[in-house]
Amino acid sequence: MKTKLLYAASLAALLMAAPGARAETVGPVTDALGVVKIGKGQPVVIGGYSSQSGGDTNQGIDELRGSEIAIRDFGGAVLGHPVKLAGEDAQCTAEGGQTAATKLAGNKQVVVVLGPSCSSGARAGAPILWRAGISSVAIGATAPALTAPDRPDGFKGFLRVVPNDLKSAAFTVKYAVEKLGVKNVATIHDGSPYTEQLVRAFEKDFTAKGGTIVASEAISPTDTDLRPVLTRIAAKKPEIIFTPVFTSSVGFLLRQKDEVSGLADTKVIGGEGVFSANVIEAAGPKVVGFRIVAPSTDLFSDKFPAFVKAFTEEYGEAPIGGFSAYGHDAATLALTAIKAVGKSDDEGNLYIGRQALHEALMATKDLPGLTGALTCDANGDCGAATYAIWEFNSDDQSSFAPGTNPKRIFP
Amino acid sequence: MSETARSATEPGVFAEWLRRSTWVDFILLAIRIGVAALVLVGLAGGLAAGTYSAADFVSFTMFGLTIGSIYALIALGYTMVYGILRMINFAHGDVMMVGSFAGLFAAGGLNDAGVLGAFPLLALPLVLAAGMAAGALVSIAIERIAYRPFLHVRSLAPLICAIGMSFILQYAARGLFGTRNRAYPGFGWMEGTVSFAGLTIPIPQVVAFVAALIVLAGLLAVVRLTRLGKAMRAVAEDRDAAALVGIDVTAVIVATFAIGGAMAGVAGVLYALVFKQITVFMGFFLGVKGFAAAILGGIGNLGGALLGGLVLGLAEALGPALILEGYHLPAPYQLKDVIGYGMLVMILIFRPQGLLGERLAAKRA
Amino acid sequence: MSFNTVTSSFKVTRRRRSPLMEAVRLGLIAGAALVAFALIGAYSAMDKRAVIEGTVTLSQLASLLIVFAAGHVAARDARSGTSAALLNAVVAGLVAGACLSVLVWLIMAVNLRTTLVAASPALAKALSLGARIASLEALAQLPLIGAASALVGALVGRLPAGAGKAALTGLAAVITAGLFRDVFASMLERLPDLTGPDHEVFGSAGLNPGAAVALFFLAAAFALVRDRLALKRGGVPRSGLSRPGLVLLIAGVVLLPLVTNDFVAQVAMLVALYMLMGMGLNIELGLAGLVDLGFVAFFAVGAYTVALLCSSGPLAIADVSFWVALPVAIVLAAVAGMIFGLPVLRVRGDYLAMATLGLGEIIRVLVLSDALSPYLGGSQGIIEIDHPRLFGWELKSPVALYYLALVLAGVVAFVSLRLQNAKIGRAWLAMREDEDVAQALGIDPVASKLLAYTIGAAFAGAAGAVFAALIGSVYPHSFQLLVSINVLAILVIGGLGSLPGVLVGAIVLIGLPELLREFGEFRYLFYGIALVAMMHVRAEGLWPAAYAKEGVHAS
Repeated sequence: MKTKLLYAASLAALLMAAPGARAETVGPVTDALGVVKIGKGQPVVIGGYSSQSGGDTNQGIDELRGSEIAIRDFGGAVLGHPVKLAGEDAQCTAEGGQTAATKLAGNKQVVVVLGPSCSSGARAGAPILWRAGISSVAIGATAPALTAPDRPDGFKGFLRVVPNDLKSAAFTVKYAVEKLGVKNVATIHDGSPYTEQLVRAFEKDFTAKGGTIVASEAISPTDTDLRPVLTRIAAKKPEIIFTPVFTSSVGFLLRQKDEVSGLADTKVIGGEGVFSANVIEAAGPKVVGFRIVAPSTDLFSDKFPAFVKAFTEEYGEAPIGGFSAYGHDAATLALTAIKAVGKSDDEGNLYIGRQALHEALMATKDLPGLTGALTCDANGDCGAATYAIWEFNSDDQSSFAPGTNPKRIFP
Repeated sequence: MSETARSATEPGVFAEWLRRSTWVDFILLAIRIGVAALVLVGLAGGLAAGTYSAADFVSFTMFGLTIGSIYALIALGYTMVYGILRMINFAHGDVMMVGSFAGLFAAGGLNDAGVLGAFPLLALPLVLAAGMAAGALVSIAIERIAYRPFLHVRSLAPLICAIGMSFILQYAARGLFGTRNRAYPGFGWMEGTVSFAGLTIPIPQVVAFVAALIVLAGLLAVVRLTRLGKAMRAVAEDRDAAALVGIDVTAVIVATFAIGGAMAGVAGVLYALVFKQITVFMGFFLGVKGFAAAILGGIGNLGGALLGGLVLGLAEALGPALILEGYHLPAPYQLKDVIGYGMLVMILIFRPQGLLGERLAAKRA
Repeated sequence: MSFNTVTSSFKVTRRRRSPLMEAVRLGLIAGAALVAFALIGAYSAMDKRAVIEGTVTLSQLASLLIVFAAGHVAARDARSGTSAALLNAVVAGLVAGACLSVLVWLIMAVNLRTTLVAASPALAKALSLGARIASLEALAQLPLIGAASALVGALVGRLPAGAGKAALTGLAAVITAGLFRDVFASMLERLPDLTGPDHEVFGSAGLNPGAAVALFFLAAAFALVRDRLALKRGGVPRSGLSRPGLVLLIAGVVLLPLVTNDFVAQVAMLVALYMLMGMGLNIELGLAGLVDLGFVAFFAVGAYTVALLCSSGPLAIADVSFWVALPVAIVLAAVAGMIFGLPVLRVRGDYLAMATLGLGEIIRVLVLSDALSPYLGGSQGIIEIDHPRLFGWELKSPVALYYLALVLAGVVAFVSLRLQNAKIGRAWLAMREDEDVAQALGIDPVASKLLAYTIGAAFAGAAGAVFAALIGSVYPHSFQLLVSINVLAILVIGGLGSLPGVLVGAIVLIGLPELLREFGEFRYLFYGIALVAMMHVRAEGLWPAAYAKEGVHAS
């Protein structure tokens, strides 16, 4: 009994001490973080983690579906190997991100990971992946701290294609101050880290530029009757309302706004989370005149309708929110980098060095993505990061096409 | 209760109370005083702050009554089943969602067939009928799967099964119908508004409120006047005795579930008409609120369900404005659930049987 | 008054049909299940995952199993000879397969997608199994495959008991190995000399065909040998879990994370956390009979206490060691339990369930709110919580933290056991059975309920403390109503009032779904189905408490 215990304890010590990633040489490739060997005909496994269950299901499913479409657009294969997306559920919680990341990190065949959807999951998950030598390309985690220059070492392997909150907030403030010339603004967030952070960034910028936040309100994503909170906002007489909340809430907000006296002329500016045809259905006729802050390039306008069409054919429904395009871009970024660093030997085996892959990802420059030309900076921010204000002008769902409905009105 | 009645007639009421009370009573008293003080200070502060005009308060009341009538409709179905079975149907909110979707598809079908255009007045009853039928069917299925096998067992199995059914309904609907938000059609005449006491009220909200009253009246009529109602009351009173006198207990329970499910269908369709968009996940939280409303009113009591729903709706709409405004908290409407649930807890402390619940309920529960 | 009497009573009420009709009915049920499986999108999603490389995907396997089960039941229900039984099974299989054929045809002939989003041409393609989509060949092969699968199911049922069991064991082994490929592959990685490179047994997604066949026969042979041995020793094949079963289970719990990978340790860690909470609720519900749907509130109190005391972030009020913060968290959670318990404990039954649910939601909303965000971080949570240190060693890896949680769970289990057998434990049981009688016997209901509530809250607080240390950050979104529901379900599934039941319940409801995390989209659907199914199979729980078992046998 005693020896067994001793054995178990030493085994435990051994296992706990074992490092996740270490330098190795496999086939023709030597890499500081390890090498993934993919046998002839075997698939290149790309991990994914996003919110597949719980309150943010729509966003997470949209994202990984976007990635799958990207893999298909890439020809379904890289360097002669089929590509397989191993998607995991990270919910939108820290423990979900941690568990999913641990699972992906445990699979030695995972080359790179796409996701997650939420900053909380990224905070817990990205360091675990990086400890195993795996870079991750986030799709929806927008917290500025994740790519701050002074971020902890665990986030060195973390990249994201979605621009961080500071950029879109700064742009929105610019629009409000320079174009609209408004002084009094109300904000609404829904208690999710994303919307709260974005609203706070906006408030900070806007106040710094001399504006006044007359009301800073919050709702819950499950609220259906927003008229009381709108009444409170109406009492403060804002000129515009900035609210990056998601589709359901935007639907209720727009439909109920006119029932509250004093808000009929107040414009609402939403976030990119509702950049989809579904918001037209959710808000009905009231969507006309609704403006959102969302990525803008001509690239986007050209490619996006084809993407939505492919998506709809594959899944039977169009993207629910605006994040599927980032899923597409994350996959494109990852596949391009794999293509650049993968080395095949004569037997048809493929070798990918993890450090080399990370460097290739970070070196991405002017890669044409769906949301714009992707260029990664030294901190892992790869978002195309040019924004525009789009305005919906028709309540016909089938008319959804960036450029016509919604129409770009600024810049 | 008899103690207080007696002590009130005797001299030295306070001394008597003091003698009879335990430490728990003192702490409860302290909690009551504390809560009352919090509310009063908030109220005074809120009124003094003067954020809102009188017209705003009228609006708040109307908003509260609207969402309250939806809660009431859900609570009526809840309470109906509970009254007979003394079991919580956790999946009730999801039955409501199914009813709502059935109504949506029926409306789509009717529209394609040209019925909506030709007879706009017929639309509402037809869509309601579809919602009620779907709700009743799902509810019967729930009874068969989650309740009947455990009818004679004292355990939490039905509760767990009902929670399981709730997940199944939500996620099956998600897989079948997709996650997107669906716009609910209006039927021409329902798009308008009516003017009342200086307020402009959209017609669906009036319809929802009236429907809650009609449903209550209808259910009361069923329970009080029909043979089925008599059998229901007998089963509620004593299931074994009812069986002994020749009542088909199973059939009565199935009928109760069907009626409860149909009411959930009504709630689902009216909810959708008022709020104009539905998703497959909307049922759960509305169900919890309906459950809270049913408890608030005194579960098993039909009138109580209506009252509970309206009170809960009013608390959510008015509470933050009246009470939290005085404390100058940021984003008071984020805390509306604190007010709603807090009031529920308080009422349960002051009146453990709910607003209109009989004493009996506490005994049986 | 037990579960058995009830099930038997409705078996009697079932109308007798002719065996053939019964077979058709079974086939239709299986067909409906198959169609539902396809239309909720699960078929397409699981088709991407191979169980046996290049041979069978998960969705094909699931479909085959449904028909297999239908054939099995159809053959068993027959009151005639073997050939008639096999015929019934074939009929059931044909009908079930035909249902899918109809679906495939409908998808291609009518556009169902405006209502049913999963009814895509891709689904029809997947269901056509390589034949031209919805061609006659594609439509005809489905009933045939169904009939074959049902026939196999019937044959397995008709085999001599030992052989049938062996076949099922083999099948189960193959399915388990294929499903949990990652776990087993990681175990094989640890033992490189025994089996060679892991991809010989496992492909990138599932078992390799050769390995699958070998595994099937190995497991079947094992089952045969075990049965032989058991017969030789004159013992009856054991039913249910016994003392050796418990020892095995505990040994597995202690050693599993060591022989697999970090992911299993991480999952085991979550299981241990839920065990801690489950044991807390077990005191409230299992012993004292208090239905609590707001249990997550105390979990949150524990987690936030540790977060505030051990964080190096901006919101920290102190930066002390985890070992100092842990007792503080437990005490604070207990105090919160007492404060909450006092007012609501006079409320009974379902009223109590609602009151506690309300309290749980109040805590979550408050923690999330902007009003308290200067102190608790609002939706941004509290980050940079330090990992616990032990003798200068940072407990950081999932394995280390798992053992931390396990030790804590052991302590809590010990305390629970002592409480259960102490005077207060019997007072709780008495009160659970009949509160009025208990009061008449001199038990102070409010005080003893309050004690149960406080102790339960303290256990949940401990779980929350470890949770914060494990994740390194806490967010309000981790404290949803769903956690309370999960804990309640663990208790009921495991068996109310039973400590081993908590362990089994946590493994089944938390551990197994985690291992199938990649099907997150359908996770709660399967969770719901599992809840309902388990309640139907064993309403008293998987490992009922001793007194509950006695109650069943006595009646």
